[in-house]
Amino acid sequence: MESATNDGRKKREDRWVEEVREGKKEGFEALYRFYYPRLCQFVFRYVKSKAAAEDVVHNVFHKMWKNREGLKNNGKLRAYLYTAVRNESFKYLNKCKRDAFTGLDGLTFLESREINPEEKINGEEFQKAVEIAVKKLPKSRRNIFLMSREDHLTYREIAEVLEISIKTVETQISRSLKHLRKELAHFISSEGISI
Amino acid sequence: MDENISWTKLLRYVRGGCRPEERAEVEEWIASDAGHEDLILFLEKVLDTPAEPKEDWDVDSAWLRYNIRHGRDFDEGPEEEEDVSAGEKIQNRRLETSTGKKSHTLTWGLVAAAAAMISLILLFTVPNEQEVVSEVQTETLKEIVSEYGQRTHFRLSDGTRVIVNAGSRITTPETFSDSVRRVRLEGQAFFNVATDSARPFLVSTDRAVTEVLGTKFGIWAYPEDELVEVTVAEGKVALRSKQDTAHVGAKEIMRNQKGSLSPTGIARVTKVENMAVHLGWTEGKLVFSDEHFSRVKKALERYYNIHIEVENDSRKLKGRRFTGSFTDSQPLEEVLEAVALSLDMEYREGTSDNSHTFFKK
Repeated sequence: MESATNDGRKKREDRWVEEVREGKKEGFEALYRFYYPRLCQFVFRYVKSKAAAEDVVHNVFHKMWKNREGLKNNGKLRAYLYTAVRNESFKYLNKCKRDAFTGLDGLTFLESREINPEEKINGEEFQKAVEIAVKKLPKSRRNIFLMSREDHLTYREIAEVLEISIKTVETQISRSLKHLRKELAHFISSEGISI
Repeated sequence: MDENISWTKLLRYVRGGCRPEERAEVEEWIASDAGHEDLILFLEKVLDTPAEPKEDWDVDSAWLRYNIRHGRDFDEGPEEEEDVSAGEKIQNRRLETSTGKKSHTLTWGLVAAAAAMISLILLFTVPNEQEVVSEVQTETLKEIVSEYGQRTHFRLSDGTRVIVNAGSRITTPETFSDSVRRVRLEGQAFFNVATDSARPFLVSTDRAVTEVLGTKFGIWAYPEDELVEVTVAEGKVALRSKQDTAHVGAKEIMRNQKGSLSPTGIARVTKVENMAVHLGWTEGKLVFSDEHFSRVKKALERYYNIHIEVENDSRKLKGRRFTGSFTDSQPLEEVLEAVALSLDMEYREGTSDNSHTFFKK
């Protein structure tokens, strides 16, 4: 099922990319609207600020437009965009080194973040626990896990964007699941799953 | 079984990407122990649960902001940032002003010529005259004008980007002073102010003064309209009446808010539901939301450089309200027909150039 929607997305995307190469604003706007929230969510993990995330994504889109004639319509746009925003995020973080704040570690960030009231209301304890468990993962492992789970990148795309091997991606995901199972063990009783 | 491989296989099984042999293998493994089934259920549950809180990303506002920043990319014509694209004009008038009237320039010239006289004059000079003689400044001012039917992009000396709407003008010094950046606006413009914490950016209009450090906002201040409005896209803007020199009534306007100055000089701040109504013009969109027809008429006249006559029922019409939006790419006739239709009227082209008439059938 997932592969069917994936094919649909790819076809649409190829059309949009072609429009961008031809200098048409419509394709560009379509790509922007599709990828903006996804890329921002990804960048936000690095830069921790919504305004900065938007800046990064805008810069990448602007660059993409300026270099549109060099864009290849080879179905690899997603990996290209994620790679580009990741690099741009690092550029941004380097610039901000002097303003380094105390808690770059994800766990600290969670503790100081205001709890979204909606989470409390619908609040499954399990969901909170999953989030906390994920935050406890070491940074790069967490990143890989989220790129697969939340951003829905394929292992191959993750490998490309992070410049590691597919095997490494697999291993890191396995280890993440192992960790989650350990952290969430109390939800798995001997009688079965209790959630 | 190597645990790593089995996790990957389990994942594939749960997600549904398993080859038949693998599937059989996993199912056998599940059956071999009661705890294995629990693990599968656990995996399914975890994969069903969001692993991180989802932030709220407002794509529409973001696209608008992108266009404000980079909308020039999509215009026809040269991509140079400091120039304007074909079809738009800058009028560059260098006005030499002294602190007083023009005649002082003459006076200065005469005095300078008679070198021997200078010291005498200074000795006998009364304080304010001395000011005039020694402090006559030649300030080079630049004017950016958008005629009716035009929109002008311009970059100021500090890097601030300005979009000047139809029927408006901006007056700015060639280079800003060290302590403050001051420009004057008549009409409507959008400012993307370059951040400079040492020098506040002041925009003064007929009646109002707005002050910012670095931010993006639009001002509506046509002298013939009674209203002054400031809409903020990013950052903070302080708005006050020109007479309010003590800044007592100054109001602070933030992102997605709009400040207005009443004819009596009182500033009010309200939330903006639809930013496109106030800032859509920067990307070539005219957006009206429950707007008085008189304001719609005026906006259309400026934007397209036309004149609109209304025959019959003119008084009733003035009170009518209009909601709709148009883009640059639509032909004028289409726009006018849409407006006329919504008012239950018809329109025809008038006798003189650029004149159009709305009438009741």
